[in-house]
Amino acid sequence: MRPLAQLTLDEHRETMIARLEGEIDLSNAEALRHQIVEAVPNHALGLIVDLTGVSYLDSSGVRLLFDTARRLERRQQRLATIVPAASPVRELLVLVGGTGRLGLHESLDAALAGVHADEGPEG
Amino acid sequence: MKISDRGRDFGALRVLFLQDDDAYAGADMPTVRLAAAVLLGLHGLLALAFLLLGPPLGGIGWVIGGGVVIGSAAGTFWLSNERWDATFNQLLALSYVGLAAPVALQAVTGQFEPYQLLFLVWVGCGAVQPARRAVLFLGGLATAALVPVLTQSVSGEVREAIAWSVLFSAVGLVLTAYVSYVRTQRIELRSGESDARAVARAATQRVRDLQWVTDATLSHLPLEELLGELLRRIAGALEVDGGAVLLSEHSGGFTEAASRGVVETDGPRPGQITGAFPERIATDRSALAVERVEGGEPFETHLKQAGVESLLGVPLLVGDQILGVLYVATRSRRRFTDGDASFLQLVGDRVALAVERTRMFEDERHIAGTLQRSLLGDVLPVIPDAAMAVRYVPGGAGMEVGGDWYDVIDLRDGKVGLVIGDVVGRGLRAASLMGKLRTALQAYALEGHAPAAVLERLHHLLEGQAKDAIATVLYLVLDADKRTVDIANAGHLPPLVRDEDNTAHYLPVAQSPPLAAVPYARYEERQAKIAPASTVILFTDGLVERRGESLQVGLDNLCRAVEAGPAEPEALCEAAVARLEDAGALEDDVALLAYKLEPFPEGGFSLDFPAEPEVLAMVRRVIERWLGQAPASASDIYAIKAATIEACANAIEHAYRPGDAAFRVETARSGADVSVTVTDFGEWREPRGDGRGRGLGLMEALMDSTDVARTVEGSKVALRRRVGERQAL
Repeated sequence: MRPLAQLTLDEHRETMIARLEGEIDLSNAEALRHQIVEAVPNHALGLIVDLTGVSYLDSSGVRLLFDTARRLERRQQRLATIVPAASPVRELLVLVGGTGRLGLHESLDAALAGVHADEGPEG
Repeated sequence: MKISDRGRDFGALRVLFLQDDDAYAGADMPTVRLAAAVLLGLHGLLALAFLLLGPPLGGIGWVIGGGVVIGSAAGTFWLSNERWDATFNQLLALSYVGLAAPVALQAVTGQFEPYQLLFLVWVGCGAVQPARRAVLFLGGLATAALVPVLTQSVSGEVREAIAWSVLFSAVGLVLTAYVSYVRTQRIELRSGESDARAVARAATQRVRDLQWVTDATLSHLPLEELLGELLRRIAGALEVDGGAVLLSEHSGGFTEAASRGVVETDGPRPGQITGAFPERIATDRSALAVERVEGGEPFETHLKQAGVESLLGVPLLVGDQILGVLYVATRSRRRFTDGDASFLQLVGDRVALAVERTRMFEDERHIAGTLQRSLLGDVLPVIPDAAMAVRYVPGGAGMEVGGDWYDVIDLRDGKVGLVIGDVVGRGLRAASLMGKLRTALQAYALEGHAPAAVLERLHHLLEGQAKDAIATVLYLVLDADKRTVDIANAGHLPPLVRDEDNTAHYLPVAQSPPLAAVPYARYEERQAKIAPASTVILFTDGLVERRGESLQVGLDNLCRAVEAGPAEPEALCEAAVARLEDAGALEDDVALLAYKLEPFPEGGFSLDFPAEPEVLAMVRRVIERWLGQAPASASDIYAIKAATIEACANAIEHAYRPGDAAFRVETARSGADVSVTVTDFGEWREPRGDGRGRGLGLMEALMDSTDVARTVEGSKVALRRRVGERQAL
């Protein structure tokens, strides 16, 4: 069977980019989080999770992102996410209060700028 | 031979004393004809001499005498010319006329003697009459002639006449006896001929028996039937009263594989057989004849009780491996010849090969059957808005499994792939090739290729992988939401659709060649509309092909049977298989798949799911598709879907110990009011770990109302939301 979600990893300007596609739920969130966190090297400034191709995400996905953010924070690394405007995924992340903590952006450039900015992702 | 002996004795008796209508059949015509010609010629010469040298005749005497001479000459000429056909009776009549002529001449000249007339009668009786009549006639005349002697009123002349009568009676009897003897000889000759023919027939029969024994087509019979049939033939050919095949066991001793006649086992076969006779044959690896069976070991005692007197056995050898013993038995004492032994050994060699081959075939058939079952025994996917049933019916007795298969592939988003296929050929190869094609088709289908593209890939795969392999496949993608079917066909029979109104029809398919049948195959797709709650039926040709019946008739009959039968897939398949069984022996394997669309009612549904995280995706599909049937925004759908999944995830995560368990999703919709209730049947366990309680908050945020009721029987989460009111989640 086709996996529910697919993860592609890429490094760009000292930043890891994890591109997620498909659906994230209880059945795959834990495995994805593990893969993403493992993939971020110590030298990286931060991680960008691209959720553009994600059609479904629920509290498992939210937990994945918050967990990842906490782990990166301990390593002084930053998390940014790319979520298209006016998408149900963005609405959901806003609903659970992820706006600041998860660094929601609408494009890769904005997200990169967010990771490289001197100030933290809070704001 | 005994029968023809009886026939010979009986034939001689018939000639002497009984009516024999065919006494002259088979007479040596050319010789009779020549003899008659010579006699007639001599007779003519005598008549001529009589005319010239005898006492002077009157006018009438010359006419008769001349007639006799000319008639004799003409008759001689006629007989000596083979172009003129003459029957035996015609020749006899001619001889009779010839004898009568001198008497007539004597009568004319006044030198007639009465006994000459008697002479004619005697000779005629002996030669022409059947023996029985001649004996009666002559006996009657002799008695009549002797009556005057008994009445003692005899003069000298009468005495003389009586004496002549008796003399000629005797001559007549001798003649009759001679003719009978000749006829008997002829009949013996004929019996001899038929004996020779019988011998020739018997020889031909034995050759035929041997040919039969070597008949390779028998390998299709199951081992036991094959051996029974071989024993039957051997019993006929060797004229014995029975026989059996014993197979060697690894643990020692023998088991009976087949038995017939006097040694036939009624009821269950005995377990292990031990006996000096089979063991000696197996040890010596040569034929063994026993003229008189003596009891002692179980095998011999058993035979003696069955009334067996003599035995002949040969080893069953393949290479230097001994498979068992073949033996024949007689009730009466018999000394088997070397010829018998070598014939039986010849048969034994064939039996050994057949045993070996059939064992191999049975092994292969068993493997192929197991493979077939294990491949088709996969669990079919759970499609919430459909009911489905499948059947695989193996062909009739003595056949190997075929390469028929079916498959149902969940393509998600309301789409499902339905497959039916048939690898041409039988046995292990067909079954394993079927497995390969089935898996490959699944893979191509899950990659999202359209039906025609799937078949084209499959075509190239089969063409590249297996030489001389051909398969027919029908692959269709059913979109339950759009109510369409995309069909691609590779030489298979069309799918049948039974609508809700109980009418059935075949869907149009493109006429494309089977997979790997031609080098460059193009497969076209056809799209058809399908009504809600229809049943799609896919099948292999074994379901509709009947010997001596056109395929169209078979298809029409199936269509009518499906219209008249039940709509539920299980019952439908059951009825189709029952219909097959009614039709008698199944010639081919049958694979059958019935898939019924059961759209979610707009007002709501209730479905049970296993409590595993993997089903969450399916629950989402079901909710999405159900909500999509009536107006609802993407945000509304996402919110209800996500809230439901949170409730389901809770049921899975918190409510159950590991193991089989299920939860229920019930939905209802009335206008804009949508409610979803998720019920589980386990004990509530407080969330563990960090951040695990987020689900409930999310549900409350997404829905207008969220009620959680926890009882000892389980938890119930009731979610409610009015669609079309919020702009976002």
